[in-house]
Amino acid sequence: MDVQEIKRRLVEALGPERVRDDEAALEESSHDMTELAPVRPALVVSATEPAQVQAVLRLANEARAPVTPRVAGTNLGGLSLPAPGGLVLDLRPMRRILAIHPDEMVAVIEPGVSFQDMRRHLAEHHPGLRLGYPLSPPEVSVVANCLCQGLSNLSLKHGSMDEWLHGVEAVLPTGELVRTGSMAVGDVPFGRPPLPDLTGLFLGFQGTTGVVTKAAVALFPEPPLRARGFILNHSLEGSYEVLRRLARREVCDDLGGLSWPTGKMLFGVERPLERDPAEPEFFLYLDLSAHDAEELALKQRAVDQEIEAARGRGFRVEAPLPIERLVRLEPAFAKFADFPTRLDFLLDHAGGGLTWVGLYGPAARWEAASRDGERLLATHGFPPAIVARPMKAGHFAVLRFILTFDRRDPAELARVRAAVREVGAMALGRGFVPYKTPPWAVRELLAPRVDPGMLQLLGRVRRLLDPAGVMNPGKWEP
Amino acid sequence: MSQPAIVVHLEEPARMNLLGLILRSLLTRNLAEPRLARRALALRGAVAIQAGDMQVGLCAEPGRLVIRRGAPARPRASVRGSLPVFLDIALGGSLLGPLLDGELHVGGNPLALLKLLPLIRARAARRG
Repeated sequence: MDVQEIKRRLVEALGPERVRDDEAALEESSHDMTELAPVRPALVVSATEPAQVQAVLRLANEARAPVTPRVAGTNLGGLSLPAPGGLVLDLRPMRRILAIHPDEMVAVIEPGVSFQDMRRHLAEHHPGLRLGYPLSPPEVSVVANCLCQGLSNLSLKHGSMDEWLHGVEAVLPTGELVRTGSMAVGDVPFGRPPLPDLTGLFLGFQGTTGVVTKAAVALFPEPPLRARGFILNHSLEGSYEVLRRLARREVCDDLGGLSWPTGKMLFGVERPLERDPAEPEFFLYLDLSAHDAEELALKQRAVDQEIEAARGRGFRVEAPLPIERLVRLEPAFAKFADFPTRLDFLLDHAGGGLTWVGLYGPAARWEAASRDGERLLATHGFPPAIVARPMKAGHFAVLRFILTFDRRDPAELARVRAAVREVGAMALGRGFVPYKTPPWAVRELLAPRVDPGMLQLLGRVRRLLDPAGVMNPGKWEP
Repeated sequence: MSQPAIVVHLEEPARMNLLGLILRSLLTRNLAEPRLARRALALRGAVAIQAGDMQVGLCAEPGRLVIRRGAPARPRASVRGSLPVFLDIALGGSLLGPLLDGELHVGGNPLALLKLLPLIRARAARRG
């Protein structure tokens, strides 16, 4: 079936306003902010209802046309880039918050609902509840971040966001509608057990097993008191010591660290090149919440004790600086005062390129992987912009190497690609696993290390669900 | 009265330390106030500032204040303290307490330091 026939059939099914092949629509969907080359789709189709998603996927099956779902298009793994000549399924119009169940603390939402949407809705209608927010732009899809196993500022307590799903409604690649978790049984989604956990078929699969049209996402209580602070730390090793200690102490809502280049970018230095050996190497940030002043003071005392313990081991760690004071010193720190937030120093710079090596792995190997990554980035002329955070009470760790670059400069793009490849290979060797993994990294770096049995099973699952191979081909494909 | 022309110049921003970046932020915002800008224009020579192990020189040059990493060659005055003490003073904390407690050390011409002090104090955020 040729593109014009696909378009005619889609227009017939969805209406002309939902099917676009104009330059603006194709251009918008063809690129992201990473170093990956743009890929031009043939059509951009938008949907407002699950039935429309079903119609698109049924036709795609018939036409053997690849389909790539997309919302904000900000994924740093290149996951929103389409297959060449395929369809982009724009889910932004599916933006309804369908239900909030305050007793079960769960929201049922569509895939186009952004973190900003949720923040506004909860503040207005359910101020006693909160969602976790990532350090991503506010327009990012909540559901996409859950499906891609992303994290948020409550992941220290509650793990990566895929764990927060209590079930989904999804359209399979062949067009059937399914519900999983407690959404499969009752009208109040309360969790995934005690049923076979088929929600997992949609988690970490990078959109290759279907299109999620509704998701039940866990919410959490919003205590009335909050305190956010920054801790200047004079060594990377001391920072990781404090992060590990505080994670196990289980008093923080959020906890993480940014290395010196990130801090300098906040002060308006676009390309920090050198660290003064006399200056702090890491900025730790932490969030505490409490129901009253006494509880908050106890948590602050626990933080102080862990800092003192790290000092006792010879690390030089400053006392926490409340965010309000930091904002008075440098107003740019207000970006860290409230979430969701837009970290414009990463997004709005000359050339506009942003990419990362984002990893989950063992916290005990933070130091070694960070130092190796630092050396590799330096050989390609990039500063060691590192973000680290403990997850799920310290069961695992996040390690990210962030690169900003000029997308218009071919030589710089080549350096970025080389740096990302080398840092990824190094980190895998140290036991870290890339998340939101770019397709090239799955093929070249990850697949050779993954258990062959798992790869075989993965292939069988995908062929079973998507016999025509139309859902997001090229993604998570060894 | 028109705004006196004075700018803050950060030498080698890509290699500047955190102390220099904080100072630039404070000075730039403060010099937007004509009264403080006039005061900055009256500064002479260089002041050495050390917070923790970080050092910068703040040098008054015609029409600009230059922040350089490291200690200046012949400062008119110097001030040295821990990073928390420096931050506390920048945020409006007392100068006298840390001086008496031996947490802050000053050298050279104390008047030069007193002239500088209001320029590196963080002010409350303006409304609107």
